[in-house]
Amino acid sequence: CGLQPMYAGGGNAAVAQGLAAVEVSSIQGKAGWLVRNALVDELGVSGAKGVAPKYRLDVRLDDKLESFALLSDDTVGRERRTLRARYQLVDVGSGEVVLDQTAGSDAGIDVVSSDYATIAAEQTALENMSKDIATRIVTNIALRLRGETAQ
Amino acid sequence: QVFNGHNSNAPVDYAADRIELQDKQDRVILSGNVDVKQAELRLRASRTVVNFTNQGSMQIQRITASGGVVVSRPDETATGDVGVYDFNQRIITMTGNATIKRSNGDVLRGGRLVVDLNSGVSSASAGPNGRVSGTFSVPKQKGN
Amino acid sequence: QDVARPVDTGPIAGAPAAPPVSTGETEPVAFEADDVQYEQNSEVVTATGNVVLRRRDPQGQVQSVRADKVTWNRQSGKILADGNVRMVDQDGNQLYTGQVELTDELKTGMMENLLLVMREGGRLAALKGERIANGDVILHKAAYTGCDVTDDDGCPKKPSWRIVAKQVIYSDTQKRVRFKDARIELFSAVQLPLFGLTISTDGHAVSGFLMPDLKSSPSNGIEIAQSYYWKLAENRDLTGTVSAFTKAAPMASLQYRALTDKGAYQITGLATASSSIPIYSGTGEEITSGNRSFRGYIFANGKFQLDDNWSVTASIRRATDRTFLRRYDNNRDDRLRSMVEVERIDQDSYFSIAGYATQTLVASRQQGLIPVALPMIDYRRRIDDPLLGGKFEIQANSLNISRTDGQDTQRAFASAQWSLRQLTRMGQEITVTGLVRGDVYHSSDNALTTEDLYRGLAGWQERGIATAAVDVKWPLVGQAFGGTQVLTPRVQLVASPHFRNLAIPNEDSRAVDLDTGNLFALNRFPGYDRVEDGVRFTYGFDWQFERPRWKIKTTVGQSVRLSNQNTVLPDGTGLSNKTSDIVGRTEIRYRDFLNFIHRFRLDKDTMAVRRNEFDAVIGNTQSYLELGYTRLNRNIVNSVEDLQDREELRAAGRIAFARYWSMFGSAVVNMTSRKDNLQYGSNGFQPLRTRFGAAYEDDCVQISLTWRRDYVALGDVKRGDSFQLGFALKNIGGGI
Repeated sequence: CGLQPMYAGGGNAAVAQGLAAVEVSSIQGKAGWLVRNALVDELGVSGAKGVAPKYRLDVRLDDKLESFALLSDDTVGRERRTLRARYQLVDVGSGEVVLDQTAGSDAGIDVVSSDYATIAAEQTALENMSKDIATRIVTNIALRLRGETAQ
Repeated sequence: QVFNGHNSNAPVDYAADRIELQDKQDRVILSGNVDVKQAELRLRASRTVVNFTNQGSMQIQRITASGGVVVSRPDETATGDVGVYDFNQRIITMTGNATIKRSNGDVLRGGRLVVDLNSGVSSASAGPNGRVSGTFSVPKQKGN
Repeated sequence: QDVARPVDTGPIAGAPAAPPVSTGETEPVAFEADDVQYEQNSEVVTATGNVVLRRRDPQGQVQSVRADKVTWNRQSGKILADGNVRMVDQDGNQLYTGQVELTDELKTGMMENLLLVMREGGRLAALKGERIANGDVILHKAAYTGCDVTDDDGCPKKPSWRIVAKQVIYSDTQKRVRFKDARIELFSAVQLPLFGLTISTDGHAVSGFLMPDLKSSPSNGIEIAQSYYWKLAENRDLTGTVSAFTKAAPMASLQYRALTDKGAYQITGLATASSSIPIYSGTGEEITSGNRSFRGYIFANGKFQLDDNWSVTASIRRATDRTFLRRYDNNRDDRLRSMVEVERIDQDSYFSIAGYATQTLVASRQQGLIPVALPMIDYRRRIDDPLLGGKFEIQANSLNISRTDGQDTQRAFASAQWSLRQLTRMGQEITVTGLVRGDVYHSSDNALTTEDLYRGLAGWQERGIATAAVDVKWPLVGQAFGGTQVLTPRVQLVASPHFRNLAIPNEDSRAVDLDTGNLFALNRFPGYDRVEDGVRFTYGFDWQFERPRWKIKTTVGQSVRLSNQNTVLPDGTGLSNKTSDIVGRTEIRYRDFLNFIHRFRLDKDTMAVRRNEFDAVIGNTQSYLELGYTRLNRNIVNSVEDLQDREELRAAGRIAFARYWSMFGSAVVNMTSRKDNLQYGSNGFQPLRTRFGAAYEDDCVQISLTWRRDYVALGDVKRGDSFQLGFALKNIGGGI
């Protein structure tokens, strides 16, 4: 089924350079800060610095915490934290929305007797999920840029 | 103010740049800043034709004015492209984006305007696509 | 008074342009008509033929009046509009009547047989209307409905409800309609008295009584709750509710909400007096009766964005005892978290100082052992590495944990992480990471912590941590089965020297569970107190496939420990032995119709399933079925108080039918076997919460009946069935 490397040609190939021209606008809250950092790191894979932005990436996050796994005394055993991102890639020149999709990630957290330990596990889950979401978003952007450059 | 109706057979005096008497057709043509006054009624236009009958004394039948016609009366000024003053029926008819402006600020615009000097009723009708329009100015209520 | 009279609500034909805003002493009223007569001496204007008058009110909003004939006495300012009169006020509400007297400000005077169609939805008809001195209009024999009067294809439809009243006061200055001793007529059959009703004509909220709630529960009997909504200002309101019970003393609740220019906050309080049976006795024996005392609950939260960077978030939840919420607010939380956080976020730095405290409502937990984390300070800054083009992230963190009857722990650490990401010519993404961290801990009363893995050594403890990692991802893309696939094999090598773990108190690394989310994390423990050391090699792949209507994502991975390792963890967490368990996650999505997620963790030796979770949602927003299954089979030696095994089945569904009807239900079944959990296991199939209901909802009324069964008795909260009748009128624009 013909697999080829996404970033064939390395840092100065068209796709990697294309990613470097994506500017990420700021995202609200701590989750926004983490996701934005992960996005900036992933998009900077080509190592190119000071590239004039050709696209702008706008991201809106939705963070949800559900509890389940009840025991017979109706106490909660597990939680699931879901982070969803609705993102739009906008062509800075024409203002046209080039990509409008969602990406999501979730993590299971054990509810332990010390509630602070559960809070800490929820925060660590957020850190891991923001990296996973950034990877999924950048992969889709790269797919889109490949489609345009159509090697 | 009680209005006793306009006296159509009051004396009429004319002023114009040029006056041309066409005796055979019993009419007088005035052109250039025509200014006709009768009692408190005043008609100005760029050109008017006055038709009269001549059995013994001169009786004006009709004045037809055209070119920026302005008819002014106390509390009311009517303008239009063409104006006809019928002395027998005592009616002034203005046509061609005819407008009435009242002293109290009211404005009426219509295709056709009839000022009935007997009843003192001016009525407008048949403006652009058959509508008459305008504005009434209402005194600002002290209250609000 | 026929509320359902069909009328044309489209824009008025033949209307003149709106007059300019008035300047100076007079206000212009623009008009258009087929013809106009101006009576010279009596100054009476008579306009006929689709006459339209338009005027701007002092706020610049446009009012218009349309009638077949209008006579306007310019001296007295009296206007009489006659024949198919239609008025549009400045808020877009439309008034239809046969004939009406107006002032020259287009204020209505006497009118007969009028119909008011409100922009916000809702129609008010009356036989007669007259304006009184203070400007209000008194409507006699009026009827109001919020329902559509024509169905989708325009044929007339009977409104589901109508409110009839002998007298209604319509005040367009206060933009309000008040009903005097009104009665609501439901489906033109049942008539119920409504004492006062106020409707706003500009869509804004208006103070008034809300629809009463009707419930019944095993512990409180039948409950009637009547709320009053009080609009204090455009941005502040207060809702007070009194609930009367047949088997308990009445309860009062108050909610205050405010919107400020920096943010918003709300405060909710519930209070009653009744006898609560404490479920945590500390001495273990069952208590059967409690004394009658004040009981209540407070919930206040708010967020304020002070400027571009600084923000304050707070959420306080406290209850007087452990069973109050479950009994009075049918809320089943088993812990109440309170937190306050001040954050400063900018592009390259994050700073937070926060406090967390939790009130436990679990029968078996001692409140004194529940930690209070105050303060929790975290500062991070990201700096570009000028030399090699990498990225530095420095972090300083400190935490103070205190327990009234348990161990107190203080911690401070500083860390610096450097990472560099490179692309090889072949398209591999290589990330090299280095981390150094220095920790300082101090703890006291360690003996009070029952779990020895968490205790750590008392007094001052230090620890230095260094970790180096190389991570290689090779995203490969290609077409397959008519769609695009991305296969990303990934390998990672992480090496850290041995350092002390068990000597350090463990406050935030207790919820340990290996899954695809943390498989490739530098430290797969949650929090900071435990860090994996030694050398490990982790490998896995991520496959993403997308074609029209289909999306499939799957991730699988495992890691192998290359250095021997003293067990920092109880066996069963998937991290403890030489090779970790295999973890995976698969998500399949077919349009918006099916969304299926499966997560698993397989034991590396026995291939036994350690964690198995299915979640499926089938259907659309109207009719859907949600299924969830969770099996945690870690058989961690059960002396450890956490990470116990559980098995649960969850189901919820809704079926919409016959256009307005719907049925819904949900159930949670605990299938944890006694073997797995002696104390709280079940005989394999123990329903814990079941709920079933039916609802009727059309464009203007929502009626629902919900039956819920609680299988767990807790203190003064009895087992048994509860019912709730939901009744809401739409397009009512205000309280009743």
